Amino acid sequence: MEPDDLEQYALGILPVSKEQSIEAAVAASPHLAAEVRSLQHSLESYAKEHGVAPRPALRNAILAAALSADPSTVQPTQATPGGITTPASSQQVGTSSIASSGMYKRYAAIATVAFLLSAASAVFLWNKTNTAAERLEQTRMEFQLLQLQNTTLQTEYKNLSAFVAFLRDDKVQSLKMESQPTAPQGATATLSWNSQTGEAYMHDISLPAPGAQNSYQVWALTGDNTLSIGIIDALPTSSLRLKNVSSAQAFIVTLEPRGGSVAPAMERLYLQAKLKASADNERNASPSVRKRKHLHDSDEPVPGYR
Amino acid sequence: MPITLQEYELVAMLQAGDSRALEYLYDNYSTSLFGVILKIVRDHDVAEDVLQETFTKIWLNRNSYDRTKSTLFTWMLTIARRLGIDRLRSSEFKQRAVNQSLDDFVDMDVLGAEQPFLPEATDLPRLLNSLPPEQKLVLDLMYFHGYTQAEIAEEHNIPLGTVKSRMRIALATLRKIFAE
Repeated sequence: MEPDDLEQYALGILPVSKEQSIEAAVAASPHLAAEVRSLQHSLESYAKEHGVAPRPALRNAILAAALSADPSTVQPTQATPGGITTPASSQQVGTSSIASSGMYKRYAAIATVAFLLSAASAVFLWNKTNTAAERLEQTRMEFQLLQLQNTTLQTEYKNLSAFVAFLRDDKVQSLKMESQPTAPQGATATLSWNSQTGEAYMHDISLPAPGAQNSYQVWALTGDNTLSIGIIDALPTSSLRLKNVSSAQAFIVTLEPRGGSVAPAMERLYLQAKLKASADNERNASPSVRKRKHLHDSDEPVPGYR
Repeated sequence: MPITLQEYELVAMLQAGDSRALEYLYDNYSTSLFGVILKIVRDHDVAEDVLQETFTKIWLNRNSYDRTKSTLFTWMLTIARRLGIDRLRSSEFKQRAVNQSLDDFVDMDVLGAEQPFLPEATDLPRLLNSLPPEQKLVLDLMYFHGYTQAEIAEEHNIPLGTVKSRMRIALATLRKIFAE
């Protein structure tokens, strides 16, 4: 596999012959799958930035045309064509022949040779400079790319170290979040919480992607209060740092419209973990937790929190 | 308040042949898809035609969507882009663009030349301006026009290695801009 195969795959410019082997590699590796998902997410956002609303009058006509292409009467066409045809080939450069005729005087010939020599050396020098400039640009870009990758890795390393340090504390309790009847099959996650420091993480998440219109939202329940402690637009590859929670009786995950809601949609309750009733938890409940927060005014993301 | 569906519910509805799923897709994604198609074909009438083709294809091919490979949005974008690119390269379209050669057409577009008849399509957020023009050119030639690395290298007279680095760095920058 070439280093930029995944990028080419995400852009849809990989040769068909290579596409299948990349798909197989991606299917076999959660890491590669996460990479591709992240690239696709960026390109989806890039595409969205170019959005232009079609004329409203088109809607019904287009829907009617699409629906009338009834698959029960019309043979469904094959899946999306695997490859993109090559673009119009570059224009043929016309060859022009120089008519040679007549006699040249000797000095004219010498002048021509001299001119050609100087032209040739100019071209040679120009090419050389050009190549050096290209190399310099390429090196600069490679450097920039490495810098970007380095920043990403540093952030990942920092997050991972924090998560490991967090897990080492024996005050941490890990709760398996149980799938609820409304959840898709196999939905699960683990929520680890340190009731003393309030730190909380969600990890080992197995949920389908929330889709472009939705987000998952994590909530801490304390008696009558509900506190939003995390919004997930895109599933993390490893762990997800949540907001600190000083007191909780249960944690739940619901599916909400993109960007999250002020209160959980209990009809889309996917995961739940209950804590054993503890006098300690109740005593520790702080006023800030008891007060219901308004998502968009006061919820600041914490580092590593998506 | 409009109904929000989760992607897997939407896919289930779509694959069961529920026409409401297609309406939902249209209402939520036609703006993005139309924008991308317009960026490719640069002609309103043609773009409307390709948008209709796109939704017809989405409907007809709904059972070939595989959620393990991509999100529904990426799948639809792929269909829209490919139909747009096919149209751009079709002889019928070339005939329409009679005053301009196709290559000039493409270059003018991606180089960000003035687009007086499509002002809305150029209104990108300032963040995207951090993408240097030469990287954006390579990205757009690939994403919107379907050019391979080798084709760009050859037609724009850029070394293949440079095309590759520009693509990678452009994507890395996009990932940073649109960090999840």
